[in-house]
Amino acid sequence: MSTSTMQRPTISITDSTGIERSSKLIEGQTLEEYFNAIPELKVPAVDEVAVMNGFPIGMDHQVPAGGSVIVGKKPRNG
Amino acid sequence: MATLRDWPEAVHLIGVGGIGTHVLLALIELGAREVHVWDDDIVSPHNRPNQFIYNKDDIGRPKVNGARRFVRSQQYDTIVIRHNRRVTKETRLSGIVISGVDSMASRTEIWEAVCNSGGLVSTYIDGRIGDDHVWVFTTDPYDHDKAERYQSTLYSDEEAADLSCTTRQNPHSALTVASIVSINLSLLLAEEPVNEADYRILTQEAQRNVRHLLDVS
Repeated sequence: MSTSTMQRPTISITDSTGIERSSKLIEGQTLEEYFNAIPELKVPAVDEVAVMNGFPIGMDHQVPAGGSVIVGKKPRNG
Repeated sequence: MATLRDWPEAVHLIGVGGIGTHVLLALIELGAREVHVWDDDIVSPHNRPNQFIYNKDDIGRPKVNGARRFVRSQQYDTIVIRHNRRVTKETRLSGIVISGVDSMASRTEIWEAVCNSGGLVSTYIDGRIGDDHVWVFTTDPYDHDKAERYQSTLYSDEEAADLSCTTRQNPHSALTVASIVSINLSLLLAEEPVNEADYRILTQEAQRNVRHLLDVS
C-alpha cells in the first residue's frame, strides 16, 4: 500500500441541491465504487458524462488523488 | 507572433452559426488568407442576435453568402471560399479543420471525412455548446492515441443533453469556444502544445444544475 493510499485523500462534493459533503477516496477506487459508496449520489444519466482533464471517463476509471471530476451534461450544439 | 497568413495549409470552418461566426472573426484576426466556409443552412431572423455577421438582407440567403458579404464589407484581407453544402464522409478536407455544427450526427460525418482525408488534415478542432456547457477538442487525427481519445467523445444525438443552443442563450458560450480555438491556433502556430480537451461549465448557476462536481484533493 502506497503512502498516498494510506492518506486517503478527501473528496469534496457539491451536488445540485447545494449539499456539500466530504468522503474518503481510497486510491484505486473506481468511479462506480465511489458512487456506490455514497447512496445519495446517482451515477451519470445517459445525457450526462463524467469528465476528468477534459475527457470522458468510464465508471471503471480509477479516480486519482489530485484529480477533478465533473459530472456534467453532454452538449451538441454549435 | 506567427500568424495564419504564413500558414501553408488550408483552413476549413464547418458551420457558421453561433460558434462559427465568432471563430471566423478569430481566423480573420489571426491573419487567415483564405477560409473555406461550409454550411448548408440559410440565415433566419432568430440567428441575428447571436450571429452578429449577418444583416437583415442576409435573411433567407445561405449563411456562407452572408459570411462572405460580411468579410468583404469590413474590407478584411481574408477570402471566404463558400461551400453551401453539408460535409459528408466523402468530403475532401485538408489542413486545419474547425467544426461548430449543431448535431452529433454531423460531427461523426465530419470526423469520418477527417479520417478519410489521407493524412491531409493536420489539426481538427470540434466545439460544442449547450446552455452554459462548453466542450472543445483539438486533435491531431494522425496521432493514434489522440484520435482514439477524440473518438471516445462522440455520442449520438439521442444521448446528448437537451440543452438550448445560442439562439436562446447568452453569447458567452460561443465566445468562449472561439476564444479557446484562437488560443489553440496561436499555440499551434508557435509550435507549442495545445490543450486537447477543455470542458467548462461557465456560470455558477449551471454548475449548481449539474449533479456532481467532485474535487479530489
